[in-house]
Amino acid sequence: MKLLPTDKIISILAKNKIPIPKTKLVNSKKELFNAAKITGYPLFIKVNSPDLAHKTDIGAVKKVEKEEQLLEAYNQVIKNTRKKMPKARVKGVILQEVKFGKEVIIGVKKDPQFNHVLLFGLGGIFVEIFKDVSLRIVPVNEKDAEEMIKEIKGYQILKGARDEKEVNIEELKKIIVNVSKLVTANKNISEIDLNPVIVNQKEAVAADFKIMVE
Amino acid sequence: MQNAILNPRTIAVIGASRDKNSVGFGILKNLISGGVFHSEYCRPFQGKVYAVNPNADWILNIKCHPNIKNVNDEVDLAIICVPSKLVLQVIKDCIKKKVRAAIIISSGFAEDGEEGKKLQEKLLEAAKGKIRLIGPNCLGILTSKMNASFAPSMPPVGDVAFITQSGALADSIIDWAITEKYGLSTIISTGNQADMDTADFIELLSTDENTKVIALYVEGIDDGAKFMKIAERVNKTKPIVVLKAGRAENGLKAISSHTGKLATAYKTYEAAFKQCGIEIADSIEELFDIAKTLAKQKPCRGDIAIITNGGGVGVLCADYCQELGINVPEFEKSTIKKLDKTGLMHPAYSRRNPLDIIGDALPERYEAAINIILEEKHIGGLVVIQTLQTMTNPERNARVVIDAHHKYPDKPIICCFMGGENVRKGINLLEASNIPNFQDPKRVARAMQILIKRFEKTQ
Repeated sequence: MKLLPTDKIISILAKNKIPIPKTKLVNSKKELFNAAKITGYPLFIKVNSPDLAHKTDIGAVKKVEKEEQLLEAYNQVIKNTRKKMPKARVKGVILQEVKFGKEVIIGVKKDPQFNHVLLFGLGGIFVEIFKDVSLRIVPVNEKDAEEMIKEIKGYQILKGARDEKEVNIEELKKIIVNVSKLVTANKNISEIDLNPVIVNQKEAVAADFKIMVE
Repeated sequence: MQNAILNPRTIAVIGASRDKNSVGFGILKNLISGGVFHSEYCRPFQGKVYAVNPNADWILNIKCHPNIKNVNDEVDLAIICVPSKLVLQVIKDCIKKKVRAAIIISSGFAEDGEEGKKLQEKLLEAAKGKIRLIGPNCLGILTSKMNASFAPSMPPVGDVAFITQSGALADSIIDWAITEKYGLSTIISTGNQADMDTADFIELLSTDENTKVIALYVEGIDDGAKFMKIAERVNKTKPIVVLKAGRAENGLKAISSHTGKLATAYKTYEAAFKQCGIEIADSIEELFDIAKTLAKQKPCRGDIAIITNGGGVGVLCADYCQELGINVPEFEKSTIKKLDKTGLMHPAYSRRNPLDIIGDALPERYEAAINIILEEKHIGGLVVIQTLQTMTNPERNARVVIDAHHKYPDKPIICCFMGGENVRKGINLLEASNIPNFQDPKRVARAMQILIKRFEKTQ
């Protein structure tokens, strides 16, 4: 199983109409500030490495509120990675626009018996602690996608508990169906992890993404 | 092929043995008598039985042939119980003899290391297109007409077929079924599924007139897409229930992504089962509860009523119903009036659903309540609970329920006659009239949920 490089994943997602926040790959310090002009502030700076599965845990991700903090953050995430994961290949950093909303997870795993299985759940700690997820064997159509979203216990949270407004369920459905189409057309994909997908009233975007191939 | 496997005219036991402690003896004995452990449900196979053993002349008064090729008759089904190394040659002989299907009881194949795996592949290669194989490493097949297995006895005849990846489980289920008078149409032990797999057996049973519901015990499915396609189609006309082993995710390798960690094998199976519309059971008990319910009662249109002579059990049942999303609605005012008018109700009866008709309820009160409630249009199904009081009459109460069921055949009834020996006769009457009885209101609620889901699915 091999993790695809970030630029490749970004182009696959774009081709398959799976939206992501404004994202720029940066190879050197020189490009840093120009790239940040495109993403705007606040932004996330993440180390770009095919060897890091969980970036947050080792300090390879930082939130940058304004321009003055950018260089410091850059040096910090690189340093942390070098220290904690000295063998990791570092291919610059990723700058990404910060999106606000609820976190969900959309993923795919290739099962030896049933082939691709698609997973949906509330993201963040909910997915880790409550394992509140729904699954379907691919292909998944729009109706299935809706059922998957409604099936999880946390659906009430997406619908807007108390005074909160309902998130854009339609956009979530679109991502689910497009992910299903993507793996149906690409049998060699062994795993997809869009975690988190940030969803608010207006839009749903995959803020972090991994695609593994056989 | 269905006939050769489920309804053969002739069966040959290859590896029949004189040794009373051997499988080859047990199978022959089962065929000619129904079971080594005798039960009232044991029936000898009515077709021709041939024994193959080059070293014996007679076993159990059946003449032995040195080879299947020496049998001077067409053979539909062979049961093979020779050592694994000899099986390939036996299969080749069977093909020459034009035997249509073979149950391979022998073990020592894919379940037994690399050597065995290779042996199994060779078997499959030889058999391809020429003979269908059941097993190897299986218990065999039982139908109402034959015990073509080494299971110790035969179960009562009924509507539920059981396809199991564990032969040992089938053995104990049979003994349990005898005690519980649980009717089974067919039991198929799939073994290693070298050729025919669970999906093939579902297909086979889809046109079996004696089978109304198919219960599955599954450990693994190799071809998921094939299973889903067949199960989805068959389930539309013949309900399928599955119990899947292997929920614990021990020794799961470190996986990099959350999806990888969360989409466990069991959850994936669960998703597949749900997608083809089949019911998932949580335990062996639930597997057979659901199968029996679907075999004996019609789908339930909507809301249900609960009638009980014990308030507590009624409330428990309503609790479970609520948890499972079953509506237990209020009755119409006119219904309460009708109940009042009978003059049979206790002054303190509950006047609401669940309808507590109080511990001193005699059969007449049950009868009035059951008929008035079943008359109500928005009630689609009924639960009748009976606790055992000094004046309770389980047999007559059972007859009241049975009569009402005949009067309202489209409204399913599930009973909860609680107790032991003193309610046994009443329960037997109910079960004999296809009204399932469960001792625990939780099981009753689950059964009702299944009937409601079936209604929604088949609409």
